[in-house]
Parts: sequence; structure tokens; C-alpha cells
Amino acid sequence: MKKKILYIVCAVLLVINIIITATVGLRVNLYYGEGYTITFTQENKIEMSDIKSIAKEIWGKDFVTRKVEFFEDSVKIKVKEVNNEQVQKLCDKINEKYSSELTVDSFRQEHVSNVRILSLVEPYIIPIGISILLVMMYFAIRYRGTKQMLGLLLNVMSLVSIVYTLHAVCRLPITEYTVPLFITLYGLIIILSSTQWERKEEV
Amino acid sequence: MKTQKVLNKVLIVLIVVLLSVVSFGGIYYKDKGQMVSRIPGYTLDADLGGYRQVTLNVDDSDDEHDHTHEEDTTTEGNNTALENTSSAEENTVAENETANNTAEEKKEYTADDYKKTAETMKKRLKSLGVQNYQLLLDENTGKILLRLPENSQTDIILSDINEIGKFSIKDSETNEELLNNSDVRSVNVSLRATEYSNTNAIVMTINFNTKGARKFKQVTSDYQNVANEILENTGANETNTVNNETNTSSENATNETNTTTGTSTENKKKEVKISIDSSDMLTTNFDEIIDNGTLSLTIGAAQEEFETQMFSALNLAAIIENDPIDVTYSIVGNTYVDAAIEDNTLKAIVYIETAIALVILLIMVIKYRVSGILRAIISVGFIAGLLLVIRYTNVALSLEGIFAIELGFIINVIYNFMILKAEKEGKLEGKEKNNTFKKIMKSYTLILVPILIIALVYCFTQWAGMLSIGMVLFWSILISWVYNTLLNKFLV
Repeated sequence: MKKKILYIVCAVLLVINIIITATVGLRVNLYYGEGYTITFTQENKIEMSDIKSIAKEIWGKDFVTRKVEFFEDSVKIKVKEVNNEQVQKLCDKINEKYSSELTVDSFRQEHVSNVRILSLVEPYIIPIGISILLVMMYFAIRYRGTKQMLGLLLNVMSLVSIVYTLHAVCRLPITEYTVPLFITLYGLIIILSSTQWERKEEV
Repeated sequence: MKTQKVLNKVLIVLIVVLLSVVSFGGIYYKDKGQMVSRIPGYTLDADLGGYRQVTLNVDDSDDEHDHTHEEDTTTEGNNTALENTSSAEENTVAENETANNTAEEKKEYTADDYKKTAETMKKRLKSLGVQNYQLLLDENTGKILLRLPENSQTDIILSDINEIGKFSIKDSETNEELLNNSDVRSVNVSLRATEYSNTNAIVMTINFNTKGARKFKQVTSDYQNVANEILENTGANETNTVNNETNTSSENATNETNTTTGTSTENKKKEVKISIDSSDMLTTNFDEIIDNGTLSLTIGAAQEEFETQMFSALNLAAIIENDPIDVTYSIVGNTYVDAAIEDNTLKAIVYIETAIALVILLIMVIKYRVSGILRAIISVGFIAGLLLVIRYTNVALSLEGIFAIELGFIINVIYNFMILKAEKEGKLEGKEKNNTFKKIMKSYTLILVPILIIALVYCFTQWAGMLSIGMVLFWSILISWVYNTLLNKFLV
């Protein structure tokens, strides 16, 4: 009975998630989202903490900073929106901090389009699909039946539903940690399921 | 017997502590006034170690367009020149008209053109085995942002990424296209020993598809090396025809005709030109008719920089076996960008993982007391060993790989909990000991099978994240199995 309820909940969540994805789409963080990068180089060594505090003053929390090249004198700031006033402010603050003589033209602006979520997930689909099929086959052979096999499928589906719901319904943005975390949790589910059924078999 | 057991335990604890010190702390020696570690460092993947970011902009002043409309432009140029002769005013008008016409004739790229080009670039990267990349396309402007893992091959890949890649086999004189990219099924690059020197030759084998193989057979037949003979016969036939037509039976006249045709056949020796875009790779003809649909080309000798040469050849192969791109791009930005995940974030991840591991070990200690402490120390030794193996086997750690270390820890802890449970139940004493030990080992091995399946599947993928998690899991399983089997012989 419990399993049936879980199946139904999973199915309903999946449908809701698909509808939300098709209509509203999923949220991504700035690293994967559309925005503008501002790249600049100056003569002295740049401290990332300084750049972060300057960027925070101008753009608030929504920015990403990266070092560019190996000489630690070049930085890339990614922001959602940028205007001339903000670039001027950035230029003034950098000049003030590093006693440099940069002009607004020294700050190269570039529009960056968003990363398609499908392209993020795509490389993982086939390996995970193959692995789950093989593990299900193993369970079917090892325990001579479909109970464990379906149990594993249900566990994985529950995980997918929870993760998907967090991002679609709860609007949690997809970040660079989302997919690795999902893969790890998937591995953990396999380990725990395998341990659980092996122990039951012992008893 | 009891003393021996205690001694064994002390010895194992010491070994584990030593292993942990070596792995977590490292062994350092002084070299040229600097402390250098004897233990190799971790190999980090692009998301942790940095990547190359390249911006590709649609080239408005592209040569290809100029080539495409070369004839038209030339005609227009002539027209303009003619108009120049009339008057200065007319001249200006004419120039403006010419410029407008050229602009009008320039193809307006659509979003579909950009998408198709991006897909072709992806296919080229796939052919080269580059998996861990990001290609972002702005469908409005066609601008492409490409992020590639930074390694020795990055520059070679980038040198040709925006190549149009129009492969063709043409008649060397008429420039008639005989075969192109659409006729190619696949291209392989291999090394072949040469007869005359010690070096190996890099050979590119172009495998044509069914349609291409048929065309290629015809080309090899038409452009055979024995062309002189064939053409001489043709010459004779032509002579006969001429004789029949003109009804002249003069021997001298026939001889003259033959001589003339003979000379012309030598001049008309037919050859094909293999070219990519506007540059010709080679001009050749064929010794025999090739009907297996493969064309082998020696494209260089493997010398000192063998790997670079080989990868360049593979790069060329990737261009040939995929469609040419529709849009001309120019590289405007090519920079190395630091890791997406910053050092502080990485440290935070490691601290969280350590905290989780400590909580698990704490549960172990609370539940099983002294035996739990010993097993907890052994578990720490396992992680130390795993980290050493990861470094010595050069496993490229991605974020997934770092998370997988925690999974490896859990895999090992499961075994320790199984042993501790059996010990608490008194199953590891007396005659029952060996049987229980065997049972636990069997059970543990069966628990590991599904994880081993996952690890192996991941190991066979080329995507860096999956490969990393696969390798870490594989080593975790192997080390855990061997480590526990060895240690338990002394401990239990």
C-alpha cells in the first residue's frame, strides 16, 4: 500500500514538474545563466577578495568572479545586467584600489547566453541509464525475482522526483553542484539498497 | 595468543597512522632551498583546475563569401572600372552601387545556420574525443562561447575549430568537384611502419560511404596512372574519326595527327586535387582502381613531437568526416579562466565530507566502544590509502570524483559495521570465526557488485565527471576488498 502511494506521488510530481518545466522553465544560477562578462587587466597583482567587495558594492550579491590567465592581473566578472554607469564606477574603484589608470574602454564587455540545461544533463543520461539497467538485471538474477529490481527503480524514481521538484516547484536554481550531487546520491541509493537487500537475504 | 593479538592490533594501528601521516601530511625533502613533496599532487579536472574560454564571432568580412561571389564581384569591378572612365560623379555613384550590391548579395545567416554550425563544431569535438566542454550559442547574433578543458591538445583543437572544413577531391585542371564531405563515412588516423626509415608514417584513411565508394571507384578509374596509354588509344580513335570524317587516306597526314595527339595526351595527364577549403593538400593520380571505398593518405612522419602530430592529424580527420560549417567565424577571445569552483568552496566541500565521515565514525565508536575505535582508525587508514592511490594512478578529480571519495568511505564503513556486528554477537570467536568471516566477505562482495557495475560503466564513458566518479569508485572497491581481507587476518 505504502509503495503504491509512493508510486502515485512520484508520478504526480513528475507530471507537475514536466508542466512547470515546459511552461516556466527551470532556474539556473548566474554561472549557467544569461548575462554579461566584464574582463579587464591591469599592471598589479589583483586580489580576488578586493574585486569581490567592489563587485558587491556595485551589483549586490548577483555576480561571479574568475581569474583569467596565469599572471593574476586579469579578472572576469559575470553579472546579469550592466550599464555604463556601473562600468564607470568599477573603473574608478579599481583605479583607486590599485593606483592604476584604466579607462572604461579597458573593461571588455561581452554578452554570454545561457547554458541549455539539457546539454548539462545529456552526458549523464546514457551511463546512468545503462548502469541502472545492469544493476536491475543483477538484482533480478541475484534475488530471483522482480521485487528488489522494482524496489531499486522506485528508490531512483523517488530521488529523481525529489531533486526535480526542488528545482521545478521550489524554484531552487540549478548550479554547478546540482548534477554531481545527484550522481552521488544515486550512487548512495544503490549502495544502501544493495546493503539492505543483502542483509535481508542473510536473515 | 592474547598478547599476539594485542601486538597485532598495535602494529596495525601504527601502520595505519603512518599511512595517514604520509597521505594527509606528505613526505617532503629539500631541493634547491625549497621543500618539495615526494608524493605526487592531485590531478584536477577542468571544473576544479580551470578551462580555456574562446569567443567565436561571426566574421562579416569573411573570405569565403568573397570567394563565393568572386566572379560576381569581378564582373561588378569591371563594370565599375568602365564607369570610372566616364566621370568622377558617376564614378562615386557606381562605387556606391557596387558596395550596395555586394552587401545585398551577402547571405543573411539565420538562427538555423548558427545552430547547424554549432552542431557541426560539437560533432568535431566528439570525433576528437573531447567530452568535457561547453558550447554556448547566442542564436540572435551567432556568437559562440566555447569552454574547453586546458591541456596540451587545446591549442590544436582551437587552431581548426572555426575552419569551414570543405573537403573535396577535384579535377586538378577543371576544378570539377568529384567527391566531398557528404561522401565520407569516417576517417581513421594510424601509424604505419615505413620501408626506408626508422620513423613511422602517419596515415589517414578516409572511408567513403556507399555512394561515395561508388563515386571514388569511378574517380580512381578515370584518373589512373596509366592515363598515357588510355589517352593514346583515345588519340588514335580520334584520329580515325577525323580520317573518316575528312576521308583523307594520306599516311603522312595520319602520322602527323598521331604525333599531335600523342603530345597532347602527355599534357593532358589527368590528376585529382585533394583540398580542404581553399588549400590543396596534394595532387595525385591512382595506380589502380580502388573498389573498397577507402583512400589512404600518408600525411607525415611521426617524429619528435609525435603526439602533437598525431593529434593534428586527428583534428584534420574530425574536419573531413563531418559536414563543413555554414558560417565563417573568427576567434576574438582566447583566455584561460580559473576554476569554476573556487579554492574556498572546495575547502568547504572537503570539510563537509570530513564532518560526515566523522559523524559516521562517531556512531561506530559510540555503538561498539573499543572495537569501534579500532575500526574507526582502520577506516581513516582506508581513506589515506585511497587518496594515495588516486594520486599515484593519476585519477583526474572532478567535483563528482570528490563526492565519490565519500561514497568510497561509506562502502568501506559498511564492511566494518558488518564485522563489528558479528563481533558483538560473538560470532567471531572459536570455531565459528572462520565461517562467519567467510560469510561476511561473501555478503560484502555481493553488496559491492552493483557498485562495481556502476563504476565500470562510468569508467567506459569519456565525460570527465563520470570517469572521475567511476575511477574513484573502482579503486575504492578494490582497495576496500584487499585492505579489509589483509587486515582482518591479523585483527580477527
